[in-house]
Amino acid sequence: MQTWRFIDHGPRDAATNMAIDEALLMSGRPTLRLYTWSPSAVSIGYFQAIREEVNLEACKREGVEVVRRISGGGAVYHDAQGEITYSLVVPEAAVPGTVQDSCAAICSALVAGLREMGVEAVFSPLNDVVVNGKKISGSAQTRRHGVVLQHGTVLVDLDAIRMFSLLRVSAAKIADKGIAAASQRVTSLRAEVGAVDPRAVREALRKGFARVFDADLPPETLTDEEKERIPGLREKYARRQWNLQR
Amino acid sequence: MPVVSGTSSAELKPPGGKLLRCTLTIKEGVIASIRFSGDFFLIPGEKMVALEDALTRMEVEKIERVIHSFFSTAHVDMLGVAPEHFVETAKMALAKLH
Repeated sequence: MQTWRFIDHGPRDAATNMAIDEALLMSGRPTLRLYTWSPSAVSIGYFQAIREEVNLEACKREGVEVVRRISGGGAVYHDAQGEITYSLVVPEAAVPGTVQDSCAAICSALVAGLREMGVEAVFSPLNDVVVNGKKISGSAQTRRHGVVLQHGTVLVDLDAIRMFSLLRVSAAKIADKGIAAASQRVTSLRAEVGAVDPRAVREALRKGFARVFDADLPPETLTDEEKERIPGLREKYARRQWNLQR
Repeated sequence: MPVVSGTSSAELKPPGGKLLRCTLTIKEGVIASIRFSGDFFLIPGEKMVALEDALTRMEVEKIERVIHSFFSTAHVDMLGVAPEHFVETAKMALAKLH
């Protein structure tokens, strides 16, 4: 059995959350981190055109922060009360080689965690976990210097109307998925199994990762070196130039 | 192909793949700027700007060759899109200028 670090801490703002994930990627220590966002935020994929994906006016009006990730993938609404984000940092050798295969492997840990809660979750390529065909989790990945960072969302409670008032969904994407309303394609733990205690969700996710990767996950904290890197990285994620670059 | 000028955008979502959008500005048949965006994965991410830089100031006729040449040597891992989708999206955006 291998020992990975488990970091489970309270809510942070968007720029800090992304700074912590990048600091973890830079240190490269195998780590599972669970976190939330306060205030609520939208994160967009590294390659996304922000104005095409996010209703910036609505976000500003609602006090919702917007941040660009270093990982690819799509726009995600991180509700302060209704979702849990995970990030996993591991050496490339710990997961299958390609982005697709490693994404599937890491998502299988999410599936195991959700099944702990009695949710019949399955991996849905390319990067989603679904329940009865509805998305409950989406993940994004990047790599640097032989280290993988994959992070993603688990929907605990969902206000689909609010979510899709903040996100724009392209016509091409809707056409491919074949359903007019994007909100019909998402679900949450609450919708599937009723009200859940976020602490129970976090414990279930930890168990899922521990089982699938045969890892011991003792609770730990950030190292001093990681903490020192966070303010500088946070500055990057708070900059308009970074967030509006595409 | 007639000499074209203007700004145009097109998007493509391959079945089961990710969204890819191309926005370009052409001045007298030369690419003045080009941006690809979407919810695809491309690792390492910095290579996206490298492709856009390689295409900038190229004649539009060379788009396909430059894109294929770039991906044949760039060593990128992609998910949700393939090199031919970059070519196709750029051509779709260009076609709107004719």
